[in-house]
Amino acid sequence: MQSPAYVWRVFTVLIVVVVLGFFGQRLMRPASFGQIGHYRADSLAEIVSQEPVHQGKEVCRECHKKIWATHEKDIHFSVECEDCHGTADVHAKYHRSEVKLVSKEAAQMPKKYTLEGCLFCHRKLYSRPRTFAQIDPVEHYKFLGVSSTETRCTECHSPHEPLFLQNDVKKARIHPVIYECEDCHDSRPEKEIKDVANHPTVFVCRDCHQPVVDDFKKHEHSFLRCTTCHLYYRESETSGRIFKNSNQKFCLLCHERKSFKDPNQVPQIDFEKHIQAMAPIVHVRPDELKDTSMVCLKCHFDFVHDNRLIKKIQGFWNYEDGK
Amino acid sequence: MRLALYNAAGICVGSMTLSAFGKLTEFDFPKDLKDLGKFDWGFVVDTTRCIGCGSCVRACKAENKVPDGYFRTWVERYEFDADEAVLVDSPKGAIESFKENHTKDKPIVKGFFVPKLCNHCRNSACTQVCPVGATFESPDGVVLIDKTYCIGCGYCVQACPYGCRYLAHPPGTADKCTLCYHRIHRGLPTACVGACPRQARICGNLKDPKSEIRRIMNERRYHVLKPDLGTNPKCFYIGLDQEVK
Amino acid sequence: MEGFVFPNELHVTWTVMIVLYPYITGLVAGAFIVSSLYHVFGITQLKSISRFSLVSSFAFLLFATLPLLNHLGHPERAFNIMITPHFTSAMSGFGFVYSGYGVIVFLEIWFCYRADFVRRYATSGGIAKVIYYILLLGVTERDEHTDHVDHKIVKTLASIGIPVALMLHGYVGFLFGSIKANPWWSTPLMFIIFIFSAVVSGVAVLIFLYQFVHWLKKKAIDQGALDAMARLLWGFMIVAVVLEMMELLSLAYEQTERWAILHYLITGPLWYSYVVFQIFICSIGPFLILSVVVLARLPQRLSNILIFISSIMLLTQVLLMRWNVVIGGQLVSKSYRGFTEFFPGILDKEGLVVAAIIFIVPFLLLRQFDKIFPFFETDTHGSNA
Repeated sequence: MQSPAYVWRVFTVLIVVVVLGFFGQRLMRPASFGQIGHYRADSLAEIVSQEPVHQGKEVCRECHKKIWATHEKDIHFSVECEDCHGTADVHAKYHRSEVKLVSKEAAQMPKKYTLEGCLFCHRKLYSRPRTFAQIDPVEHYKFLGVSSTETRCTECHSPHEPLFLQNDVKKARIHPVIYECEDCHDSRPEKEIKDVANHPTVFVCRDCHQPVVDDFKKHEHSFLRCTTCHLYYRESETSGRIFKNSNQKFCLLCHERKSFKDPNQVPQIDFEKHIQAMAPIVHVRPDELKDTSMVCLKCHFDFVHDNRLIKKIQGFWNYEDGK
Repeated sequence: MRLALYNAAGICVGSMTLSAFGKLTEFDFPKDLKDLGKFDWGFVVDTTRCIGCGSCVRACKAENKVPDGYFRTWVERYEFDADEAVLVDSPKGAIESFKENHTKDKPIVKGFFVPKLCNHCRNSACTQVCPVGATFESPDGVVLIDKTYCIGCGYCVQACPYGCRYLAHPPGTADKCTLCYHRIHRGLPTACVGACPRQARICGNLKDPKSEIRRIMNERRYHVLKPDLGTNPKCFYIGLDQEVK
Repeated sequence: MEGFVFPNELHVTWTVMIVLYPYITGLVAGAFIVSSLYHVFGITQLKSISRFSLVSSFAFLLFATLPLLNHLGHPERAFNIMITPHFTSAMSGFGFVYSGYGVIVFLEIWFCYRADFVRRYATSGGIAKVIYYILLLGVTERDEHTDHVDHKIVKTLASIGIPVALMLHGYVGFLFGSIKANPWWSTPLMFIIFIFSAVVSGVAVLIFLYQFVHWLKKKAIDQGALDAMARLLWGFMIVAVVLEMMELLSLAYEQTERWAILHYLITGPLWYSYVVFQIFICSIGPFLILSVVVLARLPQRLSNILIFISSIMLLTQVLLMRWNVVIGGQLVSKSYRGFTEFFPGILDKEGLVVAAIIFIVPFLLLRQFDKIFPFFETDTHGSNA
């Protein structure tokens, strides 16, 4: 027997709804959907059209040429300007006159420089590679006789030229890997390597630079390591670069008189006054004296080690046989 | 017809942004999307170089306006004590670096940092589970999210084994690292790569035999996270310890 | 937070709404299965509650999407799931399965009640008469032949409906079980566990409502139907609990990498909600009670009270199971090193008050449905199809 009328009506209504749904789906499907894959192909261009915020060093260079050159030459070349100073998008656009309705104040670089900012990288943490420059603020200030822990790093250190290098850091002298005692030992051991049986073979400064090292031990600065002044930066597993810091700015990091440093802990001078006082004695004009590098060492060499022991041949260290 | 319309739209978008940028490097997003197939973006993280400074986390947040409490990238710290017990932490994703050693009562014998980000998997679990097709792998190998199409169900957030996705309210859509898609197609480095002072992060085209990323992968030994899950990630870690999950 | 979690894992994405959704679809599927047991498999003891279960299933179904829509970041885009479904996703089938099942249930109800509508059309007037006319699609007569056709169609729809109902709830189980990234969720058993516990919750809610409504109206219950449902409840709950425990047992026995952190999850954050309440109080408890009821000869009244108590305990057990799966799985970190915390808000958009409202409204709706689709009347024409 035939199905009653209402059955046909019900299923007709159903089919009409399904067909309408089908056409609705085709209408509502976004135009670019499925062109490449199961997504809206237009979204690729939309995502790419997001405006970059970080500008990069090259943009800063357009206006800040001098500081850029200083920064590029020293060890912080790998630190982006925007890492410390904040993002430069508004600042750059304002100064290129590409944006309106922004005041000069609003276009100023956002980040103010803080002590915490330096410590983000340079705080001493066990998990950081040993060869990376890091300090424990309390120990560091104690070493220098600094009384207040609020003292900013920039009172002594320049963030744009931390090492005060004369030559470009990327062209600095290549040196084999240097190990510190503390890489393996908890603290500086009392014995020398040569006095310990079966010590693992480790390159130490004395192996190549014996006359200088032996001389160094006799002088006032012998409580320091060679690498405190001759900073070593490890570039790969086998080698790195060494920076010979004989620039007076480096000596002044410890020896410049500052209000927050304890004068009894480290001998301190006021550099300008010192130069004025010394110039007549060494028969040189004050401005000449101030501008030369290695000016401290010209007189004070035997507080560190005797430079004259090093016979300089272009680009090579020298080594006296047998000793 | 559709393709022509799309291309016209692409040209419009391209030229608009060029005029806005002026001096920035040329915007070379290909007009024909098939050209994107020349690229296959990959990422290398060198955990032997990372110092855990968090510059990458701060840069990513500034570049992509990542909401507070959510992370497109973060840095984890691993500390091992003499009994081989390991402590892992990542205070606020390391956005303010680390304030002190985590292990205080025992000596630490080994420690390192591991930056994490979206692995842009070749066989990603997240694109598989999206019910509407709002997240996808682009023709050049970057896993992206179509923010105007996402319904905010959160399935992709659950499916990602690496914890790199999040769903913030607002905007109520899923979000994650886009490999700074808007920067790499302008010849700029990703925000995190640009910010890293230690070259611990490298991004590049795996299909280019002369690229730095290819050179590193040909020379060094690397590892991926959770290979047993079959996601086939394209983020390669150098110096990965077995404790890193 | 305890231990270490990935920074993004501090936030729990799927909250109370996503606990509520599988619970409601579980009631939907379970109630439908009970109805189909009569219509398809001819279990005559269930005849008197077959219409009731069908209409309950429909009432819950109408509210099943509400928790989902409330949870979505962009509910206005919810139709994208049907416009461009991505079929590699377990969630993509939702729109079609839900609509398909809705159509089946509604049609089945329509054919079940057609004879009633005809009678009501004849006896009513005014607006009600117009509504019935539209509902009947203009065909206002019935006879034995049409009753027979209606009955056959109902049987067909009920048969088709069983797999669709199982899919409606089963896909949720599969969705969770197939997330390889989550150590608490990932298991092939999840699909089948969800289905069986759905049937448990469906039968339990029917028992609860049946006894409650008859007690309220001071009417006599059909003892045969109640006993049949109690047996069903007992049988299905044994299977559901055995499956859940087997899953736990295999995790604890194999002790693969994830066992270390899951062990801490079970003995830590989930100790009370999972071990104490879900397993001991609300699984072992009803099992013992129902075993006594089914196997021993107890006085009628005591037996009915015990059945009522078991149904409440099992309704709680299934809700706890959903909570422990959904929330528990998000507490554990994918780094396998720690847990995050979750406290449901009370007045939040996805909080407990909203959840309570969404859960209670279908019951209120059911009360109104009784007026349109009367399910406890005995029908003298035997069209209780």
